[in-house]
Amino acid sequence: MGLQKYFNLNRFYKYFKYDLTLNGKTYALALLGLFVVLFIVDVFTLSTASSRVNFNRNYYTPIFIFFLVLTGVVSAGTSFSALRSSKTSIHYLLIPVSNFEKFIVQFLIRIMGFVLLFLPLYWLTFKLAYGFYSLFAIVSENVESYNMLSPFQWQENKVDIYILVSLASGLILFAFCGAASFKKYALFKSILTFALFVLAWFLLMVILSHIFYDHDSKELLEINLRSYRVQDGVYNTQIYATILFAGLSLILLPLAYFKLKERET
Amino acid sequence: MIAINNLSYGYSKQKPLFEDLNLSQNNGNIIGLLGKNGAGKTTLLKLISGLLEIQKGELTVNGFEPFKRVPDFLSNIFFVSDDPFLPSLTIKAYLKVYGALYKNFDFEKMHKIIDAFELKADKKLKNMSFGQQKKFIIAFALSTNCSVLLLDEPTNGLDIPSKKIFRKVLVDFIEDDQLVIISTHQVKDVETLIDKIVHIENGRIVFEKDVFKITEKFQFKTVNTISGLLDVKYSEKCPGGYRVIIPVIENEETELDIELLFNAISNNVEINI
Repeated sequence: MGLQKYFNLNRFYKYFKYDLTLNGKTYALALLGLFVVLFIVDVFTLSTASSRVNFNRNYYTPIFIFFLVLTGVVSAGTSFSALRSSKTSIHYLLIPVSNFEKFIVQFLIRIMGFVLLFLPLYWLTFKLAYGFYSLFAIVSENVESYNMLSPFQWQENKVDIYILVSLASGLILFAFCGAASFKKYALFKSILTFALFVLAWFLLMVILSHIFYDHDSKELLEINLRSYRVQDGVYNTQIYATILFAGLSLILLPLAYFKLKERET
Repeated sequence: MIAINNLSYGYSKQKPLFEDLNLSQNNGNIIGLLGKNGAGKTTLLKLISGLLEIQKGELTVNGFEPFKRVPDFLSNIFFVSDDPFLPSLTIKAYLKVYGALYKNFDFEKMHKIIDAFELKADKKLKNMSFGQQKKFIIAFALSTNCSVLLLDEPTNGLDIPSKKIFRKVLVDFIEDDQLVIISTHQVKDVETLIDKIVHIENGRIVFEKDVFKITEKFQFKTVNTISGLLDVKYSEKCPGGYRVIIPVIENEETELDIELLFNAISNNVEINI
């Protein structure tokens, strides 16, 4: 049997089809809801920003990243929805495919598929919002023209992009892992757990700052970091942040799989 | 085949539900897993199907450790829960996508059982009554041709005519090499189906016997009076007299009264065979 007990392409295809048949309507409605929200946000942003200043990537990209992370966390945090109740989890856990295939299907749909769809969706809603807004108001010529990959062409410094990408993947995978771990209110519990982790990390850094930089610490809750330039435009703190978030992602992905594997009803 | 050796399991460590449980069942049997509410019947079925992980001991089903939930194990076992999940799809659509996941799924058999249960293939599963949903999932379970079928309270929600059809369907469509475990506290519903009784009480198997061996040794009768009867194992008052369990006299065998036997075991009466 060998690897067949973990992955079989034919079985995976049938299961993928099964998931889309069962949940296709939910996925379509979620995308429609996202479309409406992004459209409203884009119209609102255009109305408040375009008349006053240049509507450039400094507006376009932060909204893109904020909503990608926010909705990505919701999408990932509501994965494995069948595990939320005893009735559905009995059915889900006994579907005759491997745990790995169940995991991959959720990962592909809830994370990869979502991110890939978010890119054109965000661009499309902006274009539509621009067209819609220009029907009612004179749009400033200062609104830049964007393509689908514009958000990634924003920063001159590539390290900042790495930080953002690893931060986004860390947050989304944290929610994904929470969805595989918690039974009820998985998204809420994931956010709460993340907040507790951040608090613990903050307190650890405060303690370390007081131990190692005792003479520099003036306030009780103060963090002191020694920042230095590694090479042109790259600081040690940026590398540290990238490694922290990327490392978090690398741990969370297998952890989510093992949580699913160990699930009981 | 199911083999359980010294199994221990509990929802809390202070109060284990099963301690050193042993059970071995071969394919080709229909077993009635009987017991009062809370006796541990559903938990045992969940352990066998791999929904719960054993805490101590050994449990194998067809040579697999259930909790590993490998596809070859899962495609050969079907668990019909008391309240089964069915999505918002028509029977036809559901069979197309879910039936395809079971390698031995028999579509022809499914249509025959659906007809027997008078279900319509174009009807949405969500819009069906609970009883109809139950009939559908039983039909689906039988059509998977899994070697182990676990039915938890299968007759709950079925009306009287449906219970009759359920029994007929089970007799007609269960294959000779299948092992079927029917867990129920409505013992009358499975009386004519089972060929072995396993009675659980407080997490222990207190009775495990073949039906033919029981009826070979004991008679289940209704009598006007119990005075004058020798060696009455158990008796219950009923309209018109008493229902009794007595040893077989002069090879006169009777049909099994499973409810009476269940009550006798529940009242700690020793039925030695």
